[in-house]
Amino acid sequence: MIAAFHTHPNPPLPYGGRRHAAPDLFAAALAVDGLSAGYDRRPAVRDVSFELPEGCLAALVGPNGAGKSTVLKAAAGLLRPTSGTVRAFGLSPGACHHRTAYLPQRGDIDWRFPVTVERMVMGGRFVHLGWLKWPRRQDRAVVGRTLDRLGLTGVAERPIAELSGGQQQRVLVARAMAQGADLLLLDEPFNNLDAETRADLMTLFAELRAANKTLLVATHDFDRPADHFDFVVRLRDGCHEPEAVPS
Amino acid sequence: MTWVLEPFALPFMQTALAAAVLVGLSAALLGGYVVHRRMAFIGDALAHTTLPGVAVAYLSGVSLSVGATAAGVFTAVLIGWLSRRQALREDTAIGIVFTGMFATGVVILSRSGTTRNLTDVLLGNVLAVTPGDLWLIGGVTVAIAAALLLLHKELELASYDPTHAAAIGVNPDRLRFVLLVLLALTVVTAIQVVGLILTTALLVTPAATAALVTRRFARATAVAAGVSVFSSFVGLLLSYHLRVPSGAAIVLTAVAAFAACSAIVAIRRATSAVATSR
Repeated sequence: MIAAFHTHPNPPLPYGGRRHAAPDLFAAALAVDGLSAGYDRRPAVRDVSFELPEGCLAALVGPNGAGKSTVLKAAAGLLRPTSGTVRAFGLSPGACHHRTAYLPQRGDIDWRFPVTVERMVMGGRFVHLGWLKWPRRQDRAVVGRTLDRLGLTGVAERPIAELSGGQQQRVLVARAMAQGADLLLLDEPFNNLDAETRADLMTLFAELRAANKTLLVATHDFDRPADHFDFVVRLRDGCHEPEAVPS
Repeated sequence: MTWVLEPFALPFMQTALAAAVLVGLSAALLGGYVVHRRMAFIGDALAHTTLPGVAVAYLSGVSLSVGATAAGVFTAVLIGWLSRRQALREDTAIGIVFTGMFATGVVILSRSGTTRNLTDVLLGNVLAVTPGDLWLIGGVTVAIAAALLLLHKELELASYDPTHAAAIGVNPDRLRFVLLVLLALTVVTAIQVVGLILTTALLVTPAATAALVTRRFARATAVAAGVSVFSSFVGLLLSYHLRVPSGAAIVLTAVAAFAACSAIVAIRRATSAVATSR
């Protein structure tokens, strides 16, 4: 563990906005090189490599258990690679976690907890605030603008328990936008959504790409993902299938 | 009016009321987390595991609060550690630790040849609270209020979305551990008021009542605090006039408040359903 820590050129930064490292302006949004990672020493992915430039919409596809979540979690700094490296904007995940947003599967969130939509989106500002700091006026302004932009102003005061699946996913995207994240790692956002809601979500993703955001979307919901995404990273049994090429 | 004011002219009743209100407040503040993070079982377990600490403290002449605190914090650490490793399912770990500790307490007390204090520990005796205890209880209440206020945004986030919390550098396991220690401190003070068997009621019932009334965490905490203070006051009053144990009277008042709120909410729903169907 300690050895792994020292191999990181940028060790994970503490919670709070004061010590965020400056990004490498010429680096790829996400560069994964020879990544192996897993749980309890059982590798879930082996030797995965790919690179995403800024401002692209990429799909991470593969059957259930292929290791999609593992790749996303390693990219978000939630899981330390057993070998290989992950760089977001040229930095190790912990050094730029304010620019990276991991959007968990909706099932990982306790939607019955009593918070409002506005309050949940405010969660995106916390990485800039840190311990013992309350959201300031400018944080509230950012949240207000984001809710407005995503058409969520009408439900801002509602408890998150009352949201539909599509609204829940929009709230997660809103939180990532309130954070000001440039790299969005989305874990199965299309799960259990009807076709219309999926299409709305794809439109939203395209808008984000137009704003120069980079999105990596883990999904198994598209028959021909290359028709919808700029890049397709295909995983099978934890390995990267090499035929994935920019479409 | 004298029926209400007369009992609280007595010094021991004043101390009892202050203790009950302070304990009720700290339990109500934590109650929202206990209810919404489904920690009721662990709260109950923490109460039971204080018994060996109390027993050892009693036999060695140390303050009972010190013994109970030590045992409570020890349990919080042990359960936090066991559930972190996930070698055992958490509720299984709690079940083993809590019954094991409680049984140890029973054995120690039975060897000491006295069961008089056991009744006080099990059922509480708020009338026996000394001014010194009151300082401790007050300190715990202030510490819990301060900790919850300062850590609120992180505790809330880690409660409904631990993954996002971890991704921005907030360790949800550590926050859970903080909650467990705060819970242990509350439980220890609550034992003096309602006894260890009924301690969970102070954590759960006011918060559950508040959850019926509002879906907002901060507002719910305020409502729960109100229910707690009301239950402490009315419970002590009933206990004085009806000559029933004070802990049980406080808990029953809280349960009555919960039942009344449930009924009001059910009636409102029924009438609004009728109104919309017309």
